Amino acid sequence: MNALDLALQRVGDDLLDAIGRQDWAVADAELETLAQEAVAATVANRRDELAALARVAARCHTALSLRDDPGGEDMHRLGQLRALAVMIAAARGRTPPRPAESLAASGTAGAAVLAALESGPQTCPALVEATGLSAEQVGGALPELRAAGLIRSWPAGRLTVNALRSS
Amino acid sequence: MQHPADLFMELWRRLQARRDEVRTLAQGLEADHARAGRLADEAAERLRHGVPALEDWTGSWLDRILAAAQAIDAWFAPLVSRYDFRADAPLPAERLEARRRLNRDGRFNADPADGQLILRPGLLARAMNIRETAPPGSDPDAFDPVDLFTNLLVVPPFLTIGAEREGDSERRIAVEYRRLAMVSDQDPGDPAWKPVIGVVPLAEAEDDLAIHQFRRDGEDWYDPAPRDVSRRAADAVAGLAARGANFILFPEVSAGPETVSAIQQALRAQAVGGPIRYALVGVREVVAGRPRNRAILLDRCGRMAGSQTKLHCWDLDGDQCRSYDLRDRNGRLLDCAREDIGTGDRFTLFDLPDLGRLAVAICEDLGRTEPSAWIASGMMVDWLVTPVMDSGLTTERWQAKEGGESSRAGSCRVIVANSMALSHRFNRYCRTNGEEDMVIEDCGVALLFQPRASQAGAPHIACLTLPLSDPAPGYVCARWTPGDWPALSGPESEGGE
Repeated sequence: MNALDLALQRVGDDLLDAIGRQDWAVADAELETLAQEAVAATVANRRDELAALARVAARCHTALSLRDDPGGEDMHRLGQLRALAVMIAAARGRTPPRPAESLAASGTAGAAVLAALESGPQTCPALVEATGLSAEQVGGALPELRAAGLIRSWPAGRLTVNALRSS
Repeated sequence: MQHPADLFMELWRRLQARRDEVRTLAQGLEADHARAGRLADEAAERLRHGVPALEDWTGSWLDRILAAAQAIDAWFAPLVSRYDFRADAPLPAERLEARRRLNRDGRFNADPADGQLILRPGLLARAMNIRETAPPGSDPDAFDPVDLFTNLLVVPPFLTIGAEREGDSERRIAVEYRRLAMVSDQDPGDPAWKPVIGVVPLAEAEDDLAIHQFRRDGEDWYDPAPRDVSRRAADAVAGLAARGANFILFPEVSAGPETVSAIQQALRAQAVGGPIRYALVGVREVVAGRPRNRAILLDRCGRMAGSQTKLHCWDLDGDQCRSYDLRDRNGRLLDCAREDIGTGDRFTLFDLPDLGRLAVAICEDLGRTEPSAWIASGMMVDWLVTPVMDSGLTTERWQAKEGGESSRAGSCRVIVANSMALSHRFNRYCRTNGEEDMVIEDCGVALLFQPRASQAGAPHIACLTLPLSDPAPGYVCARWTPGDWPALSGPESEGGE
């Protein structure tokens, strides 16, 4: 566990303590800190931080949900934790594609796919054959290339045809 | 506002009604990528102007109907992709409505009578359908209209499945896609995620899972009854939590009410800081006076998140009765024995945060045509879990054959979880009949299958065992690292029973 993980865990522990002693001002301050960190990590796409924040949010939510006879104020913070966790999960489920130069860097699967498509549109299995990569490698590269706008794809019956965006 | 999802359902119905023509059309487009591209571009352009524009353009031309449905399928792609699309997204209000419907109703379409239109990707948000990697035209009979769409799948409201018993008529069961909204801290689509799977056989000794036999209506019946092994179950949950397990499984009918309660408490004890996110427990319950063979899904806190009731009975023939040493009260070996359960009338696909899409096929349900064929056709799940009650699992027996088939189809990960009680009965039979070489010493309690990624690859399998004579610590677990597992041999070399 790195220093940030420990620090986030401490925020979570302090949040639960504050809720336990019904110190709502401190509880809300801790929640606000977590929310600010979550937004900052989302904007900067810091995946490890988002993962650590997800663990803290889930841990605090679980602990609070297991409390016997929670009051209205507890439930209010439980809802806020849930909203925070949902936002973190949504952020973790999305990734900005890497810049074009990274995707096309020599030696990468993306570069091999782009090079193969220079000769014209190709289906996924044709790309596997043309690049010598495995189906998993080609399948792993295509979604990011599409999202980055480097290639476009269209269906041909059950197949998917891929082409360079410029062609 | 007419929503693209509702137009898709209309188009899907029209394609289904003209299946043979659609197959011919699809094969033609697969050979003419330029024509397919022109149709796709035109349909996408119409969709940019709204659903009515696309509908008007479609008319009754089959190629336009298919192109329009595929354009809508492509419009849903950003909801499937792990990556943010840089291109502008048309119809933003409709996209918001799509998210609302999925989160609120568990489907994109408005009318529940049509079933549920959901996102198709399974196997942890797959990027390529293995069926695409087959050589073109290799099997002209293998056409499946589901494969015309990569992002959307229609879950039908009903499915026809085989008879409960030989001689009975086919049945219709409800099909349901259930999306569980829970706070989660694991993204199952993360390619780096390697979950730890734990299996607890629970029934270790023969008496832990008594097989009651009785006669009714002139026939022999059997009814397994698990012993209370609460302490063992709780210790196993704690032990697996210490080993970092994320998903733990208890075999078919291995737990009664007291044991389930102990499992729930043990899960709750680890909920805040522990790693276990879900447990699937095979239970025997009595509902309205009839035994039910069910698998219950518990969340990290031990709360019931869902259940699946066994759909088909496992009636034993004479050979199986001999193998499991099933005798009547006079000590006579039975010629056949029927499973005394009330079968389920619903099949559920669970979409679970922290784990992914899960389907449960209890023992006999794995081997029957449906819903297994529908799952394999749709390729929409990540995990297919089969709790069984059988003698030791091996890489040659029927469970491996069925799991292997699914893995070869590239559909999903398969886990088979077994108890140990019947292995003692099997060994007694072997020893009585001088078949010492068949005696089970290391009892297979879990089979883990990783599907192949392409037609050229092979699935991988791990078989986890416990010594029958000393099953301590009473559980097995393995991290999902199929690269370290042996490749599964081809179907021609498989045995089975």
